[in-house]
Amino acid sequence: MRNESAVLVQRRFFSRVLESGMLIIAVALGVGVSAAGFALLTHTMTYSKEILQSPALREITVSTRTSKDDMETPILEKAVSDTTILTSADLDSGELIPSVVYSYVSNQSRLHFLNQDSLDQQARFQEMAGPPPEDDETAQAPDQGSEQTSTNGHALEQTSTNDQVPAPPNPMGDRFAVSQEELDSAASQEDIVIVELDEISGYEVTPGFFDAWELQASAGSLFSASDMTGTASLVVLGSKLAETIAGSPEEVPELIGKKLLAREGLYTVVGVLEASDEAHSEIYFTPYQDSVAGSAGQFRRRFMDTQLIFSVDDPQNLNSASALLSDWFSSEFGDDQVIITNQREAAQRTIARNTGISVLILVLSLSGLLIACVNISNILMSRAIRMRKYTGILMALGSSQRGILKLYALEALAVSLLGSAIGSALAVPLSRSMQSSLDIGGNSVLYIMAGIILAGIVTFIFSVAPGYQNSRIIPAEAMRRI
Amino acid sequence: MIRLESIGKTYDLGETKVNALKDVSLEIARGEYIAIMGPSGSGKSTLMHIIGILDTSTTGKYLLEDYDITTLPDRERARIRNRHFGFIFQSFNLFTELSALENVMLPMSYAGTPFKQRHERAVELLHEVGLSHRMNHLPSMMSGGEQQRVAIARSLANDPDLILADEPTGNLPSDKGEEILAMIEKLNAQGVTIVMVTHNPVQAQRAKRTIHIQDGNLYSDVIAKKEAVHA
Repeated sequence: MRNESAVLVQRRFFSRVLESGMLIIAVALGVGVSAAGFALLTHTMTYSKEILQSPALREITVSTRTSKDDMETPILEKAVSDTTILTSADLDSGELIPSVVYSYVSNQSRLHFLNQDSLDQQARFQEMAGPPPEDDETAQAPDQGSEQTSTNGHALEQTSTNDQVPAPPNPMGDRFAVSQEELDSAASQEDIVIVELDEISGYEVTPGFFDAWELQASAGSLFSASDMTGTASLVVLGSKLAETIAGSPEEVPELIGKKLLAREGLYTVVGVLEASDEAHSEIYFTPYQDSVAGSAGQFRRRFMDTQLIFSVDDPQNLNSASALLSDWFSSEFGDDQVIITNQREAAQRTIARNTGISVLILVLSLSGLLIACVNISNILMSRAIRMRKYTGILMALGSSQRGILKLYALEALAVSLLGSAIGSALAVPLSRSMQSSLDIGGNSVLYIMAGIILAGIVTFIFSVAPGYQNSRIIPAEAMRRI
Repeated sequence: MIRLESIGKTYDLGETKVNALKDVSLEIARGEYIAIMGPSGSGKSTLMHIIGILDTSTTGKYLLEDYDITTLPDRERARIRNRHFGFIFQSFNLFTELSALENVMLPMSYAGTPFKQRHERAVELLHEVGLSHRMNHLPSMMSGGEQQRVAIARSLANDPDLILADEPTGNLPSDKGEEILAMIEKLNAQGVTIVMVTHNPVQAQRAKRTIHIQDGNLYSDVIAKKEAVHA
């Protein structure tokens, strides 16, 4: 029902456009900044909690890399220890430690796909490089796949031996070249997929990896222990990667059993990970093999800095398990031959830093909100004092104190809602910017919304307080001011 | 209709206390036309505020139709003001943002009258006070006399039993004041009780009863030329 007293407040509000506009801007700034601060802290805390729950932060990594910084860097670019070679057999050390629940090998690797683009690129490179010397043989790179088969079904000749030092990597990565005819022939075969990507990254892993990360296949299957010693090159794809290769989610199951043509060889797709696993959705996994068919595989291990991963049941056991592993590897290979590390301490330090910065930002933003609220309250108090005459008349005409409060609340609500709406437009980019500067991932929209609602409520309370105070006035008190 | 028993009103101003009304007893019968007179600061406005339930007394009892309203909660007091009393002020006190029509409709919205009905009633009242042609005008577009007529229409919106008029002609030229006074007398003739505060002895003489207040005391209460002197 249309109410004349509400019309009165509405007209008074809009008749003071400048003052009302300033109020709304003040609310928008206060709400926007504080909501962003609130979202940053809450998101940092929950995101940190999630990160600490990650299986990666319950893991101990054992490697022969020369420094901790090299742990996640491509192997070809790094110096490696030539005295210590880790193999999957060393995972047995984990069985001696009660807190170790899973252990696996994980090595970064890459697949370079053969397609029309790569063929064109290869042709351009050969054109630039000129004709190869007659005695030059194609070098076999150390991290190459085990099954080397050309598209016409014949095994390629392996040119490297395990006694030779490999040639530096070809800038083209040209380990498994095909001719245009061979590519066309492969494209015509139903069981071969020509992937229109340049390259993809992934890991060579042992089956324990899938157990440690509790990964399941949505199509096909994961590796089993027998795949570690087999001769076939198998691959499990992340969900998004599989969608990209298949072309659509519906066609993903059809990839199972198909072979991907890569410079490293033909890789048979045996499984696709569930879509719920975001962390591994865009990478692939191949079975890790200590000793693969042919001399090249054995040769490879010498230059492969195998990373052994030991996952413990409780993060509190990380240090004790690390100490036990250190003792074991020292007894096996001698002192300082392997590096044992875990990411948890570094993650905790980063989390502590981010939380501290977020708290500081929240305190500053809340200070901003408080200053804005106090100013809004003062302006509205001044308005309410000017409205006191009207308050008295309205009471004389039959309004109760509650009715007066409703009118003031209407004005406060309008200011708070309009200000919060504008503030939300400020909060979203501000929060994302702060998140980005602290390198905090994830989506914080819900926290921003919660922050806006909370800040809006605080603003409303401050805005309605002057109205509440004025609604308590005795009508005659207001009438005397007439 | 209204009985005030030993009403006292004291304002606490910190170190000093001001006794605005001292032990005032008064009865107002339905249909009366009472003028309240007295010098500035005598307590006549305080008395009018207490009668109009715009203020509470410090001591004494206020009976409305034999019902003690002294301790009623704010909501009930507001309801009584809205349904039973109408107010006319010296400075009109219309809302400048609302049209004449909306000003008259406003008290009816507190009574819960539906929009259509209060609109019709407001049109009728404005017609009665001769302002049909000014319904959608803002108060700032009207003369003082017209504004006071709108205020009278507003005071009648909910068919009040009692109209409290605080110097209703104080801001008007004499001819316009006469018009307003005539309207008030007409209302009284229709059975509406009138309590009017005035400084004008001529206007007071036109009332059926005149009450003089001095220093917070009921100095005299003259009914139909018979004077009752109170100690």
